[in-house]
Amino acid sequence: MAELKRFLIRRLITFIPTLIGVTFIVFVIAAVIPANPAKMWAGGEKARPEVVERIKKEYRLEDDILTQYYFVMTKLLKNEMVSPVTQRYIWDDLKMYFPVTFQLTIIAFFFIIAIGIPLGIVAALYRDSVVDTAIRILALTGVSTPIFWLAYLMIFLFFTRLHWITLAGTPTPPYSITGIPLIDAILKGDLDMLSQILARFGLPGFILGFAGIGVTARIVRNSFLDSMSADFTEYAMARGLTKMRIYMHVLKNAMVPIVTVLGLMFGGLLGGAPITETVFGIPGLGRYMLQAIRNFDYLALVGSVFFVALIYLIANLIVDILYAFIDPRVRY
Amino acid sequence: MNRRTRLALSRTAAIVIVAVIIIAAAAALFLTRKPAPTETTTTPTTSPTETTTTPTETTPTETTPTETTTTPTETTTTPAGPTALVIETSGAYIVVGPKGSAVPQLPGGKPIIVVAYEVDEAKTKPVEESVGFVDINPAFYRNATVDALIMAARKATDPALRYQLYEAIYKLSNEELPIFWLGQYVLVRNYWDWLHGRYYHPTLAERWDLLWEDPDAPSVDIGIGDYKNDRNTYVIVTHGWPDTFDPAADYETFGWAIWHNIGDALLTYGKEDTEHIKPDLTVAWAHNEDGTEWYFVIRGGVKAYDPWHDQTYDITAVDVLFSIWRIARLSLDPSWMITEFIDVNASTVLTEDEFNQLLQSGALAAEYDGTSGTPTSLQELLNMFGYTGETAGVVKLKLYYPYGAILSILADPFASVIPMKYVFDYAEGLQGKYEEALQASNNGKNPAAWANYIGTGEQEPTHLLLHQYPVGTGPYYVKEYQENSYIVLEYNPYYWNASLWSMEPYGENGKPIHQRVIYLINDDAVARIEILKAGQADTGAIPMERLKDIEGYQYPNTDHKIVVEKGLLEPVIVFIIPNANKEPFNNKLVRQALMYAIPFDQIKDVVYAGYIERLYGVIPAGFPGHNDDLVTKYTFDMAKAMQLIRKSGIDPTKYSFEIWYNAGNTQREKIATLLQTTWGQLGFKVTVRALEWPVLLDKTEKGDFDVWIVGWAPDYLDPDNYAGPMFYGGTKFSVLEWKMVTSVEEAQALLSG
Repeated sequence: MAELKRFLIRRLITFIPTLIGVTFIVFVIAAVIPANPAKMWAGGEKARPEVVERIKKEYRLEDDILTQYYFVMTKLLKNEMVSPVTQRYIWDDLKMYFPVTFQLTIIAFFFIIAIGIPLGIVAALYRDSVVDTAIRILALTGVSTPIFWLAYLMIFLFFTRLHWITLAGTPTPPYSITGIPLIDAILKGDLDMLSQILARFGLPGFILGFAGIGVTARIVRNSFLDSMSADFTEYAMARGLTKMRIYMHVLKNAMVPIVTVLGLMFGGLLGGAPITETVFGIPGLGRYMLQAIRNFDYLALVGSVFFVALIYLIANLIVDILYAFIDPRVRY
Repeated sequence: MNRRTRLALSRTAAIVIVAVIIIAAAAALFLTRKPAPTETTTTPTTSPTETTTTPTETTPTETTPTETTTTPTETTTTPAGPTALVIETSGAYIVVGPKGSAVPQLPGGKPIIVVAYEVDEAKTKPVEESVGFVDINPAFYRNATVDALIMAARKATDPALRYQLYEAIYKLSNEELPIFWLGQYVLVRNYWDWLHGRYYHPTLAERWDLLWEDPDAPSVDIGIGDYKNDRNTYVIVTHGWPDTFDPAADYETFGWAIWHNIGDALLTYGKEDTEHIKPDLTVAWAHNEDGTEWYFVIRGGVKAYDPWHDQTYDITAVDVLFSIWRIARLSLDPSWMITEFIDVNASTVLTEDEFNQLLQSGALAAEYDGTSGTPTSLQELLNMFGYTGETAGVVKLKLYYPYGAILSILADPFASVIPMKYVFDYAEGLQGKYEEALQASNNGKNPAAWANYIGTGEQEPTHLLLHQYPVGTGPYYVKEYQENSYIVLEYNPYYWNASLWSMEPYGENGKPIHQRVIYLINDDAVARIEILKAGQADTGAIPMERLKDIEGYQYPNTDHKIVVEKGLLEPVIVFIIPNANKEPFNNKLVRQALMYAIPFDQIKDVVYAGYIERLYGVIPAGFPGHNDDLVTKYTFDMAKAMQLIRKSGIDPTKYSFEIWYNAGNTQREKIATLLQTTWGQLGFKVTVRALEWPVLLDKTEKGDFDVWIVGWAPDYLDPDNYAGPMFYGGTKFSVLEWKMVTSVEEAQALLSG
């Protein structure tokens, strides 16, 4: 355990330069734009010079880049930074939008695991058969289908035709345990709320997970096949173990690359899904960042990039720790 | 991966990150040291033709060139000395000129309005230092004669005289063409035919309690809690989000629509009426002789409802003054409409007795509903306005100069009244200081004292409070909302005018038919169309080019259909701005040629699906001064354009210029491309370029552009809100007089004296 602690500390220290690097790059790109967003924030062509001047001063838009960066980051970390566009504290905005994205991610991830892994195993078991080819085609479609197109098709089917889903609002239960409505509804056993949430988030979750399903199936298949041809499998077969027991061993050994990919995918999904969120009108992180870009609200953008990078790093770290549980040979 | 490779990996990762930071830092330093090339200022090229439009020409001699080219109505000029410009309008001859100019002979038959001026050269900012849309029109065009007319029209209080002045301004804007006026949007909206009572006002949204639905309107689950779209719920599916729920900070239509429904300003307009301003939180008003002091008697018995803590606040004159004072103090986006005209710190609260004494002196005049007079008591004033209920004090607003449109500004939703005590109850750092602040201001006698409690800017605590938790006096209140997802408004049981809801067809038993209003937000047009078609919404924001897909769509198993209704002209205009301070646009003939070379019919069809009408001058239809009988109609005519180019004497092939628009605006992109073709046919080398919005704003406000395309929506209902920002050239005057006279001699006397 001491080793794990040392590992954690070491890794946490590497977080700092990564976070600084990522936010700084975004900040520099934003600052390169040869225009002052103050006038736009103050109302566009109708903005009054005194309002523009006040905003310039308030956000120190005329300082040099390093001073500005320091100003923005310290204010952000202390949660004293109010977005000039949403006029709320940026962390409050993130706190509000993150649970929505998290919920969407859980559902997308559920589809990825529930569909991707079995498909991969089936493909591996019936290697080069029709089933395998079909799954391969599915994987290819998943990666290459434009999300918005698939989304419109599904909206037409499930909303316009079947009336199974809803496209407005975000169901929020009156109670809050974890802050994530989906989890709260499950914990409370509130089936009514759960069905409302699924009617709203189920389809976008599936659309979001669609690309991931194909990728996961492919990885699972290949990784499974690798383990199948490993020496220990041959040994297990020679010992005359039942098929089921052999597959359990194979799956366990095949898990390491799968967990890596799934972990990174989870982290990636948490960063928000701009297209899915826009098409379905879901107020999540991806949409928030898109809006921030549109409004040249680089303060909100830097804040969200910082947040997303942090989440990604943590997801990565968790994956690394999980290795030790999956594969006892891994030491820190 | 074993431990060593992992360590090595994290080490490489660390090295890469550090390297990236160093590179980024170096880039940042490089960028901060070396000014971007775009920042270099372009010195305006001087040429013989250009000097005719620079400020130096604002001398008396200047009017001659404009004069000789004006319309045929104009009579021959006297050869000696400068001559005043004469513009014939529908009801008068407008004679405008610098002091000392001569009045030509006039055919008579109409009254004469004389505008005499003297330019204050010292106070007038040079064109090159002016800011577009602020100190000067966005075309950087300056003409002292035009500016004198605009300033006179702004300060005149007589509506008839203003009307004629605006006609003259409209006519000049058509002839001088500082800007290529393009079009005015046609209102188009869609809704299910079970909805009734829709109306249209140019600056105010509809009041949702004045609309109603058929009893057989279907009830459809909308998927948010238990809310349904039924007869008692009005659902709008739209996109975007209000900038803020704080009225004092809001400067866009979504937020104004909400506040028009949850709040009340001092004044308002009745439905589509744009001419008669009506009492709202004020019940009667009067002003001093020169129109620089306005007195508003506040309606009694009004309560603001705070749904967040379920309590009410009584509204008095102090709350009204506080709300207006706070707009100025915060100095957020719409504040200029107050600070430009009203000296809030010199404004004050009066008791009814104090006001009554003031009235007894006979110094105050009032106009309402076609009658005018000088009431000598409060009762007389209230009688004049037909009000019999209780009152809650009087607010006096002090203006810097008389301004004809001030009442219209005070009818805007941003000027809605909020309860002062509410912000002192809940804003950070102000709790418990209400009494103290009230006493410090001596009950509103000295509002300047509030500056110790209320700050400025986006981070101000009362702003942050109202931004999230609005409280007002209107027919609805904000019940709940989830940002970028939905807003639910519920009818306000404490609304002062709830008796309206006992009347057919607005309500039953003191409740409006629309007990609830829900805004559904979805930024995707396809999803909005599907939501509307499913009957989950009564109306929606649907792109023009998609309207044909929903028109006549039938609701399953009913006779109900979606209506697409083409209505009146909206006050929103779109136009093309040349840099009139730069060659070749500084030549009026070239500008006229380019105006003739605008293929409007094609733009109307291709870009706007037919939902736009041609505009020929600065004032759109529906506003005083707009009169198309007076102006030249520049119908697309390439031969005429060529002829004007030849007459102007320039060689178009020597000029290349860029047309800019804001990136992502496909309508403006298409217009620019069409112009590129036709203007190119005249011989100019034209390039089209998209710029990011902030970049475009930054460059155009400094005059660093050739041509760009933009639009304008009014802030309040007055032609000055068009003529001022889009035509006024920034000339300041040491003398500016205007008068309606009947003879040329009288006119001459004013111009000479």
